[in-house]
Amino acid sequence: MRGAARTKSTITENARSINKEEWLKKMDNTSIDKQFLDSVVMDYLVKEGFQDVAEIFSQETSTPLPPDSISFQPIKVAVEKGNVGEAICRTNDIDPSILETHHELFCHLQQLQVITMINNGNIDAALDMAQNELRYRAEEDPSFLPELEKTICLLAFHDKTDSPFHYLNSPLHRIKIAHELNSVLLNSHGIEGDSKLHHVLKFIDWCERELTSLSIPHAKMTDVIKGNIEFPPL
Amino acid sequence: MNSVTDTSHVIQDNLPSMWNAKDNYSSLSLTHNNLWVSFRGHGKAHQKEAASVRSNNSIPKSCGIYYFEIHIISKGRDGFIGIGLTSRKSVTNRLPGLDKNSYGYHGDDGCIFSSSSSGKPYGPSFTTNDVIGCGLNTITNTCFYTKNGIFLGHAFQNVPSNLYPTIGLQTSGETIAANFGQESFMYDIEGISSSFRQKLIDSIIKRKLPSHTVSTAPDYMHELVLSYLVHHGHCRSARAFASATDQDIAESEASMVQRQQIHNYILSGKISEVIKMCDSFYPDLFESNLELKFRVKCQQFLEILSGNDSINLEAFNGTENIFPYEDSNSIENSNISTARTYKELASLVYFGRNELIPIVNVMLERKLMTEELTSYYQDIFSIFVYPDPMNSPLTYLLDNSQRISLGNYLNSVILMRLNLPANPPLHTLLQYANQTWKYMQEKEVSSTALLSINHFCT
Repeated sequence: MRGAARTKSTITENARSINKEEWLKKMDNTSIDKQFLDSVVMDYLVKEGFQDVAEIFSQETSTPLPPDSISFQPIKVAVEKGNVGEAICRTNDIDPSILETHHELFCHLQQLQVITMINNGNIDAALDMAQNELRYRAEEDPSFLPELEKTICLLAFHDKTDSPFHYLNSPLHRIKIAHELNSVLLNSHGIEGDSKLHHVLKFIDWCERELTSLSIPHAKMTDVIKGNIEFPPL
Repeated sequence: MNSVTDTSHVIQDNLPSMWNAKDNYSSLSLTHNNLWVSFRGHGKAHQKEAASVRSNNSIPKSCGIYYFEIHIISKGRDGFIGIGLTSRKSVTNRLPGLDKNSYGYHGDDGCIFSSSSSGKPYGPSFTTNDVIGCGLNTITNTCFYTKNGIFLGHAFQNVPSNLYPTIGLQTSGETIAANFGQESFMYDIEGISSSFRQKLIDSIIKRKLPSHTVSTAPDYMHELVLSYLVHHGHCRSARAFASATDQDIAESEASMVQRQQIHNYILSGKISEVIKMCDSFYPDLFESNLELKFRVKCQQFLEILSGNDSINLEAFNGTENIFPYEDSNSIENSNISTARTYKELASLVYFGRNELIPIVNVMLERKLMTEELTSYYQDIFSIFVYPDPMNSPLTYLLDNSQRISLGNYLNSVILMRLNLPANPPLHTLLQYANQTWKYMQEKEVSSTALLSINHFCT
């Protein structure tokens, strides 16, 4: 009987809304070591290829540089600037099997190539590449088909900002793909590709999802930069 | 931090640790601190004669992976032994597995029983000298068994929470000894816990970041890092990173340099310089924040004490009779003077009277002296009676962490005055992550037993 009573009290406790003031006060009282934050920043700089900044940061804060850091900054920058062809060549120079074995990444890179062609008005070249390269990728991996369709859809709009898939054309999309390529390159050299900062964000996302799935009212970070936290209504 | 509940080898108050003498059937006898159980009944091979005993505590939902082992000391007459988990409601005159919310693995035929009187073939039978382990994963709600250190596979799914480890015996002479983690286990449960943890971490890391956070600011990770560099006044890193990522810096370079200089002065103990700089760059900073002024002055007192800073002694010529009841010579000759000269001591007292006490009085008037500040203040004034403060109970005051925390506090106050956030968003983000995790623990979310933020960023 005691077991049953305990379950009941847990449910009522969960149903009660979360105490915002108390929660925020506890959060404020959490002390985070500066050295720890420095190491998170150092890891980010190195993983994302900001080797020069990492060295300066190391001098300014005496945070040690990771011993065998390796950088693919030029390849990453090439993708960010839309020079995908150059990035693919350089990647193949390092190891041709990387793109062969990472289908999704290769699809994303080729997709980005087609988008750049569309932007530059090379419609024929873009269609040619879509028909002769991307089509086969989509046949190999049907999950890529919607991506191909979205890409071709960009052609339908004179002003590309009107397209619902305009985001494919944004710098953000290029940064994402550049990051994806960088991670794969690091992984292929036996280094964890994602930074600790990425992992922290994934951890937060997992916590929030876990709490939601258990129907426990919880706080939610809605803006990482502003530090906005939302609480469920009372 | 290692969670104590991720395996059962550390006995906690709320975990099962022995059999419950009040929750067993009368034909059982409990010995060896309620860890051994023997069957004393007539023992006809009939279910009505069976007898079970439950552990003292149930397995908490927040446990993660719970595991216990049963050593079969003797199979008795027929070896009708059942090992499993039952709810408090199920009867104790049957073997585990046969009643509602009752799960068991039986030794005579190797069958498992899942709240049912008909068994399913599962593993080998077990007998005298075998060690049978039973594990419950409260994250996946699955239960497994081991025999002599070998995994036998998953036995039950959708196992409800708050079940009790249970042993059931049925014929005379049957005797078992339980190990609830008092001794090391035959099976490598630590290994299972950590491989399960790794799987969980991998599944979290593999997921793509939610797009909603990304869409609010395209390169928000770059922004997180830049604001951190600026916040702490790491000017050169900030400048280099801003130009590499095409971002603007919200604060002027001169202002950043000033803050970094002030911070460095604090870290080296030169509080007089800190005060000078603050007064010239941020007039009224101290007057508008008395707590800050108080903390800075307290730190200065400590730095004077340890010889890192000095006060302008023009106002104080050292001849003023600081100790009216004592002859200055007798102090000079006492033990204290071996550590510090009379003049040094006197200048500390002078500083305390003229610089600290007036602030404290105003703060008391305005009811700003919290309990924490009061006790800090008392410690400050107590420390200088020790001949060797570095080896006194108050040595924490001279620790570098005091400087760091004052430096961070002063920096936050200056930043707020410049209309910039008091804490860098990166700092807030990690505080948020940690508090969310602690909240999950409070709510007894079982996966928190295995994971913490440290698994993601160290």
